[in-house]
Amino acid sequence: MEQATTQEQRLAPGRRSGGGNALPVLEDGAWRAEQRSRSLERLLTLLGPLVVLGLWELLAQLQLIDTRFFPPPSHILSTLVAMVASGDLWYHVRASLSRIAIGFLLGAVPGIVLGLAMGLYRPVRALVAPLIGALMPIPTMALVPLLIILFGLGELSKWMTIATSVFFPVVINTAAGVAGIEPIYIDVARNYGASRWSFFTRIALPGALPVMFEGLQMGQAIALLTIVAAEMVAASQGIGYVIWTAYKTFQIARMFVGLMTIACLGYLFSLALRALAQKLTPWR
Amino acid sequence: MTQGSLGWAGGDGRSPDPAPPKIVVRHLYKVFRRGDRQVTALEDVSLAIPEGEFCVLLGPSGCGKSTLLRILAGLEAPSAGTVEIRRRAPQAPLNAMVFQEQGVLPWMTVEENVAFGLQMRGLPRREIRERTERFLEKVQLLPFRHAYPKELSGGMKQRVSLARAFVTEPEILLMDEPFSALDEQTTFLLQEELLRIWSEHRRTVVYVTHSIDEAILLGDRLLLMSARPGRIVEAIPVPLARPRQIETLRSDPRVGELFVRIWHHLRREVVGHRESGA
Repeated sequence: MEQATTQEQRLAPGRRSGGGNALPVLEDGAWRAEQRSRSLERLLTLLGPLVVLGLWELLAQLQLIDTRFFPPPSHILSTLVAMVASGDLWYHVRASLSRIAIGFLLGAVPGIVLGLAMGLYRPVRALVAPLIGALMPIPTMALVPLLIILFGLGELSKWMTIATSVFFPVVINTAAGVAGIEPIYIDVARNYGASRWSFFTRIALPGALPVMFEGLQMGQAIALLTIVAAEMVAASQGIGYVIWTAYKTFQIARMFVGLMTIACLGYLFSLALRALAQKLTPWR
Repeated sequence: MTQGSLGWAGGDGRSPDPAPPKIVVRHLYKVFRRGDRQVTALEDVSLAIPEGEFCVLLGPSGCGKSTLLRILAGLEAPSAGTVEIRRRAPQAPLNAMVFQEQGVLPWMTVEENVAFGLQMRGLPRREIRERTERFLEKVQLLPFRHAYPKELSGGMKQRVSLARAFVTEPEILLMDEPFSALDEQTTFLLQEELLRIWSEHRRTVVYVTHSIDEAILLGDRLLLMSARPGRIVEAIPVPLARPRQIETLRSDPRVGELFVRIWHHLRREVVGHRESGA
């Protein structure tokens, strides 16, 4: 009995990189039907956005919608191409990206450190949890005026805006990740004589990592929301600035390019974070 | 009553051991607080376990046998009483525990799990590697050394757990119902595997279980515990030669008699416990 599972499992480690489980053994006909329905699903996934874009283009070309507010996708695309070619888009994307990267680090690193401390030491949790609970519900955008008073109109206030919005989900998830480690793992560590440091590096950190990453993923999404809003208030470059000034100067196609860029950035960020999570938590 | 069978050291014809016992527990109490009431988990438990004995703690669920084991492991402090474990090798760890199935650390590979106890003791890297490999071989997990626990069956996880405990070569081995979550056939195989590895060095074992069959198969001596508050009510030697095999034990009439005798004791405890309304 055990022998049978052993044989079956022997293949498993090598297949790990493939990610998915082995397909259930199906009859030939059933298998083909399954394949057909899968390729249909893939087709439908692509079809959704294409239909919307096609319909939009058609309605715009027929002047059935107001093209001053909804320029046809083909026009948006040519604007995008022009902005990419002139380096205009990259200039703004680079500004936003560096703000996000620095702000993200400024928020995530203290969030992880404080979250670990909260998860590991109850007095720290007792001291800090009420403060976090009170500050968290304040939308970061409501804090922007205060952050500008504190940190001025320059880059620092933008970094701090993002840092503030990233900090809360990261600190809360990290603390929850540590607190949620199964007591039996703590027993194992104690029974085998783990030092404080070993307990931290071999048990607490890896044990909290999966939940911590959910916090980083949330922080990443919030960072995008925040940067755009912050750049609308006080900035001379960045994606938020592009959207806001394009709206003000009625260059609507340019505004749509800004919106699309943000959508792409968000998607790429979450892909990158997911890849990082898979690399750092291969046991999941 | 445990004192009477103190010197008994196995059914394989060895003479009673005159050496001082490996583990001595004296007048142990454990009281937990549950809100504003107190629960006595262990009440005046005294026992002595000789070196090399495979000692099984057997009792109804909730009788405090796991608590007793955790106190022996140093994971919990007694409310009163003392525990002494006689050291033989000063550099060996005092104990190593085989936990229930979830005790394998999911973020470590099979190899890292087995090496964990050795790493915690700061042994040289080469020695860790060599000993880990030897025990991976013993539990037939060498081909899976780089696999993570999620890829293993329940039985394989428990073999990791066994290897992790045995590889540290502790003064005593503690096992807390290590096979209770496994299916019957897998359990049979693992019990035989455990006996095979144990018989190489015959380290002192304290094994907690609620299965009478398992207790008879594995143990040199069974300590029966009462329902809460847990006390040791009877010590029963198992007069069966080693190596033991499930097949031969099943057809041995003495096993049937032992089973009935143990069941009479436990039945009283289980039924009495229920009728007392707990």
